[in-house]
Amino acid sequence: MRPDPEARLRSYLDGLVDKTPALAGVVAAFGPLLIQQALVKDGLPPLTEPQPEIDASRLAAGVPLAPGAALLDGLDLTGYLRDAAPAILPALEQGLPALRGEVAALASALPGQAPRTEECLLALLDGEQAGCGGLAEGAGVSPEVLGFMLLALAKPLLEQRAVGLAPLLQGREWSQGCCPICGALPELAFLQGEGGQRWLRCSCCAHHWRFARMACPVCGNQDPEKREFFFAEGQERERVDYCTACGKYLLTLDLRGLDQKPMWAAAALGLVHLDLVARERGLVPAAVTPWNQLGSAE
Amino acid sequence: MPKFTRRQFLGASGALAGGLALSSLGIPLGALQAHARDLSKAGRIKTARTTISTCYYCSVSCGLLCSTDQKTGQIINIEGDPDHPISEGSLCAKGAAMFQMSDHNQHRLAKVLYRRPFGTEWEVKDWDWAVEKMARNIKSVRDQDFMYKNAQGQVVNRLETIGHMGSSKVDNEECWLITTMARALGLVHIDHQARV
Repeated sequence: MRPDPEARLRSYLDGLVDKTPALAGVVAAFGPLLIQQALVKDGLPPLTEPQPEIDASRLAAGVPLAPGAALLDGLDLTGYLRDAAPAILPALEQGLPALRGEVAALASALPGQAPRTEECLLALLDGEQAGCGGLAEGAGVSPEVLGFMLLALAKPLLEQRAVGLAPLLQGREWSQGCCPICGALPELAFLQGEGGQRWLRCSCCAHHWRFARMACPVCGNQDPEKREFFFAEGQERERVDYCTACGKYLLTLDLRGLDQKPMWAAAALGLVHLDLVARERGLVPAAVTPWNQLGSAE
Repeated sequence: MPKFTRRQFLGASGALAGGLALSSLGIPLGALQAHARDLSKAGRIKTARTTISTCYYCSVSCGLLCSTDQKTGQIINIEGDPDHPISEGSLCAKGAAMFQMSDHNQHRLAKVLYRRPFGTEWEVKDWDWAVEKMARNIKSVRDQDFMYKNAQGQVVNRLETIGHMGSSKVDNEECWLITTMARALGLVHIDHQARV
């Protein structure tokens, strides 16, 4: 019998540590969160409605289907946050005990501050962290920590909404390095199939889309003289592609010839040691993930 | 459709972690940093660059991605280009084995090996010796057996006692050159390994 998703994710996380023991700290920190996010996502209904209007000319021009906060348009955000918080906030606290006080502050602020919380989340999705200042001050939490926690809460909803919208993109061309659904940049690339096609995984909604092998997804640079990659000898399936034109890097997994695909939610977490090597080279990740901010003054 | 700017959608992913450093979340990074340092110090991190190329074996000209180690200058991988409009990453058996023709293949013969008539051992020879030996043997046989006319008195200018067997590992242009040379010598028995 096939193990349930939670057991598979736990087993995958254990496998990451077995393979690279130095990952134990980050896996212990983010593992509980990833598991709870997966469970919350599994419990959500299909989110195919409301359907955004498809504008073929805008898509062709590289404008995503539901950029930023538009991804959550028409959804019951209040109900979702109310139901998801009791599952996800304890997992945050379990993995990141240093945030105990902030988690408690958010948990107590949520019931009475639903409109402001939603406003803050939507602002974050639009890249406007300043929109959370009032809520953060009221809860006694730094805006950065509040943003981190709110986006951790919203992740299952964003991903499930993307699953619901993905069929609308079938058969439509998309050649951009940002996500065709929400417009965020990728957290991971993977090579698959006999031809070695390159696919990207969205850092925000987890949608997968195909992208050119020989182009930078951040700046579009296609000059082979300005694109390189590195890997640890003996682990050629895990590599870091980077662009010397813009200085951004992207983790890449080569899945060709493998029987099993990774557990996507944790795949990039298993490559944090390569994030560190990239940072030492002065490179910057294409997209920020909860675990790739490795410096002390990011 | 909502109003939308490129800055907004590129910014969305940047907001996902709220710009939080792992150290500020109380996560110890010592073991990870030591591991990353060990990888770099032990010289286990290899840096490479990939260039787009074209398979040389036939006129289909399938797309290739060729990766080269930045430190040694050696080719470390050759594979099909999935974005090539014609081949879409596919390669035939010869193209897929092209990496074996690079310096990476330690089984490639790098010296001339000669076995004497009725000999049982291989002898290592240099190229000057080998080229002269082949030229002498060819000239000797050609001088002896070249046929100007056939039994009916028709001009044929051919040589039937030397045959040429091509190789599936020579490229399009080399095939042309070999055939031209063989026909110039008068050979009629010209074949190709890929056919037989």
